[in-house]
Amino acid sequence: MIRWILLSSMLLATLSGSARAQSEDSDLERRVKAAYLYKFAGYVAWPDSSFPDPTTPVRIAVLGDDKLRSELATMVLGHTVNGRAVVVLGYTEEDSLAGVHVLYVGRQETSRLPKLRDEARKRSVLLVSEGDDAIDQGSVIAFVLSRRRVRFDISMTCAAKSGLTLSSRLLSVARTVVPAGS
Amino acid sequence: MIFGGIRRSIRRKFMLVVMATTLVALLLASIALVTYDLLTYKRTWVADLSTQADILGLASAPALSFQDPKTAQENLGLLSVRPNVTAAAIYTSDGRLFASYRRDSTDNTPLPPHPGPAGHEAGARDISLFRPIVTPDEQLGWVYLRARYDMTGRLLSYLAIVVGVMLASLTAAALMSVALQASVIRPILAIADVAHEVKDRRNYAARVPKTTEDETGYLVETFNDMLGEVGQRTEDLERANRRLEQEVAVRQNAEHALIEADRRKDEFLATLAHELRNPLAPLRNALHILKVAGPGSEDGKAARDIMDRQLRQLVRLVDDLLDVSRITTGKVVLQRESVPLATIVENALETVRPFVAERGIALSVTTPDMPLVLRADSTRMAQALTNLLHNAAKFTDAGGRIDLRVEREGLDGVTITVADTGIGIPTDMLPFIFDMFTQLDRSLERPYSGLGVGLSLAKRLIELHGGSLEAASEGQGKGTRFTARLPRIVVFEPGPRAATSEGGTPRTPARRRVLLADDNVDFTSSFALMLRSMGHDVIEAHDGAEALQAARAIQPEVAFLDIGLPKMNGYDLARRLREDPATRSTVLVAVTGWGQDGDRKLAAEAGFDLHLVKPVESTQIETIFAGLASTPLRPS
Repeated sequence: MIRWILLSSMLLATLSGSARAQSEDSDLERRVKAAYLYKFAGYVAWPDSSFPDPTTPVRIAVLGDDKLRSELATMVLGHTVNGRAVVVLGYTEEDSLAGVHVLYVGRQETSRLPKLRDEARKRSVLLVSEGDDAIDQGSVIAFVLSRRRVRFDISMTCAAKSGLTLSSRLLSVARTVVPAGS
Repeated sequence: MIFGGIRRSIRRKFMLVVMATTLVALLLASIALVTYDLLTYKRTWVADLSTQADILGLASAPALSFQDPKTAQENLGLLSVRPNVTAAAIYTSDGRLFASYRRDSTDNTPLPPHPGPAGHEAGARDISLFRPIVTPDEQLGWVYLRARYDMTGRLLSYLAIVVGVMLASLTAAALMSVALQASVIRPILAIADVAHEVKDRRNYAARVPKTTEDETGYLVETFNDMLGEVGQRTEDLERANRRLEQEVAVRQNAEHALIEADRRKDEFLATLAHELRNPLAPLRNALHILKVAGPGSEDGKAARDIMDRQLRQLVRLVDDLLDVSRITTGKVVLQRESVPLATIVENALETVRPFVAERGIALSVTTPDMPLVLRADSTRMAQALTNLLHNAAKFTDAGGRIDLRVEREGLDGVTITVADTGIGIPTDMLPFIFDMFTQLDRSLERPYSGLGVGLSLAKRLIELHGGSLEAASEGQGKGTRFTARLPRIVVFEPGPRAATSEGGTPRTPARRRVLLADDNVDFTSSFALMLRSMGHDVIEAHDGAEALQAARAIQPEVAFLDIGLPKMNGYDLARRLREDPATRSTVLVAVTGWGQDGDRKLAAEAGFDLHLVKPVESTQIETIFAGLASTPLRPS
């Protein structure tokens, strides 16, 4: 599965700039983002309260992008993060963030970030969104496209406010890191 | 030279041992160390590279996860601090090259296009290894590292170090062995020195000084002991050798003497046979003349003279032989009495004169005026002198001269010199002429060569009398001089008997009754004839009984008795006569062929007054009767 994603990434890189491939690009991009989503979990340290039980799975909730959600759900089957199983959830505004560790907010729903932000910070949820301004709107990690490749920015401020610790190794591969206190 | 070689050799060996030991120890240690180091080096290097790869993998895991080759490239770039790492690469889990690094940009060694199996691979000059990049959840990719692995270079540098260390160690070992040599080798060299000394100069007294208490010290001690032992044995051996040599020499001398004596005896036997035969021919001839010519004729008288001379010669020979036998066996007992030397000289001259005259030799006698008296056996002394004169006459040719000179010597000595003008004696033969059976001249022309016992007898007899006899000669053809020296008795008045004898004219004997007993009829008849011619009355008997009967009948004044008489032997007869008052005072004279001292003793014990050995000379008979005349007869 991973191999497939990476292969896709390679294709994405090869075929970048091609208008005809716009639709496929979106699928590839979605798959890459899905893969990144669950990989982020490996570099994040949640407060102990987030995992009351050693068998507590890592819950990833997806808002506003069902395709990505289903993609991710397929992807995580049989995979673990730090020895924990990964569970993918669909998320609606009505749902509680209790027990959720990662919340992805799709491009269509970024306007709802400010509303979700406080709840997410309170419950130490890693808030991942999309776009250059997503950081400003309270997202800890924001996917960006850089030279046709999926990269991401990190806000240490938001991470700190959410009670999350991000591995420096993750930081080393981020496009931009907004340091804490800014 | 050789010795120096030995010395050098032991030194060299010692050094060789030290050096070889050092070298072997160093070599083994070096090999072990280098082997261990090379093995460890590889293992350590592999472990080090693995760790490096793992760190790189860990650092590059996010880069792989989030498709960030640039970060991975930066991570690999950190390897520049490791000069040994020449190349590195990161591969994705599906085998794609993700990031790479080359230390030297001109390095064209290709990177593996795909990741190999995990593990390391060592080449001649470098080592390469693959490590997987693993998170607890999955494998992300591979790290490849290539590093210099200069085993040959390392070996070479080790070799250089080992060679250097060895050179230094060997130098140190050599220096140390030189220092140690002194304590180990010096005692051994001392032993060698002494061994050299012993071998070259046979100086067994040499000893090695003991300087150490170790095995060498023990060796020195043992060596010294052995030297002592060898010295002692050598000395013993040499002593034994010398003794043996002396013994051998003595034995050889004895053997030579024996051989010489044997040779002389052989010569003597030959001479004896010759001498005994010599008179026989003239005797037979004379007998023949007597038969033909008749006793009264001129020829008969000449024949009788011949027979007389030849008989004398024979008698002399046999006498000499008997004397030789007696003297050789030490059985001569001298009947010593005081006797005037003049008597002895006269007796000797009387015996010799006819022979000297016959040879045509002049004889002069010089005696001192004063009487000289010897304590001597007059018969033996006269015999010695006779021998000397006879010898002189034999070896002096006709026309020669013999001087007999008697001189006083000191207070109690006398010298008798017999000098001739004869053939002389070669100087080299002088020491041997008194040896028994020695004859200088064996020529057939010299008819009276004799048995070679005369001079020997003379010397022995003179020596028995306490005197000495010497011979001197100017050489061959220059005559010989014999000098006898004898002790004498100092007397001032000559005895009556001596005076009588000195006159040299025995008184006319009286008519005596004489008994003659012998089983040899020829002997008794001829003896009787002679006695009767002297004017005595003679009765003959031919066995003991007859003689005893005759003696009782006529009561003889003198009885000549044979010892070996039939029926009653001479000894028993004498005893019987002595027992019988009628014949007790008869002068008993033993006449026998047995002239040994034992015989004389037996005769004296049996009662004989006198002892004559056959054949009896007429002069002896005359002496006896003269004695009867001068000495009063036993009272009858």
